[in-house]
Amino acid sequence: MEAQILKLLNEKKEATAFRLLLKMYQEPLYWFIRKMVHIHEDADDVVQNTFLKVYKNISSFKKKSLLKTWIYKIAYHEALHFINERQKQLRITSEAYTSHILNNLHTDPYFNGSEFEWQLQKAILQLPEKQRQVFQMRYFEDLKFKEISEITGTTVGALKASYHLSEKKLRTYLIPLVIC
Amino acid sequence: MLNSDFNRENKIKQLGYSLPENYFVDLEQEINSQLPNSYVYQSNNAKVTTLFSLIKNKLLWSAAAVALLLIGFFWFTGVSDTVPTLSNDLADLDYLFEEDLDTEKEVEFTLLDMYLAEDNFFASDVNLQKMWFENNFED
Repeated sequence: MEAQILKLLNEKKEATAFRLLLKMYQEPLYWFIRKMVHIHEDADDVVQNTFLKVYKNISSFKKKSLLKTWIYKIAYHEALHFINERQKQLRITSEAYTSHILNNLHTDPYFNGSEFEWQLQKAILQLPEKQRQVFQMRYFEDLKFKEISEITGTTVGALKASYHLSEKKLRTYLIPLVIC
Repeated sequence: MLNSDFNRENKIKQLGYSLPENYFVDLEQEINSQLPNSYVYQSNNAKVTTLFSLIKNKLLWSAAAVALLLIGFFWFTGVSDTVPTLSNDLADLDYLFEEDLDTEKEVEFTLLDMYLAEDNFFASDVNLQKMWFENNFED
């Protein structure tokens, strides 16, 4: 379908291309964003803003990267922007923001995880910001390191280091819970 | 369904997230309702107004020329010294996220430093560490 979208873009049929793109990416992109901002309402805002930005800029997509990477890159920065703005708004540090998210997640009507799922969320949220993003993109989204590198603008080597450390920390945190 | 989609969906379940009923149908409608009217795709084959038609607009071109002259003027008078420049590979998005991308560049270096400081394993030689990761964590 991506080839079809690119063909439509070449034919200057941006609106039709966008319709297809929206159908193709709305679900994966929502989950990608949800794992970054955690709360459904926030993810809903960010995913809408992302698609509006995609729409406004689709005619200037230069095809230097894959369409998928380009869209995920917009979503990634849009989510980061949202998180930064929310922290500024609440005048709290990133650590305090993590606690804020954990509290909100507990009361989010669209979170109904088991005790283990709650612990997994807590463990992931305790990772440093970048390690958390890399872990989620690699583990949950199955994105390749090269793709994550293009999305985040970080070198593949640094991403691998980051993923390795995050995996190690999560194991350390979760294994005692599983054994108990 | 692709295998990777199947994996992703199963893993997402591990996070305990749920959604309102018919969320994606509503989301699609909501996004479509927010698009400017001039861009809305018309299924009855009526003519669609695109950005391309705006490019033909002489008034827009004049405004662009004036803006370019002003940018050129500020550039030569040194006002632009503080504007960050972005590498070519980010050109697709430079007009969208200048501030964020710039922050990202800083993060890239400080994070590596952080990783190195975090584990004794990484203590001595950065090149060796890179090689180790290349060999052990290939896609």
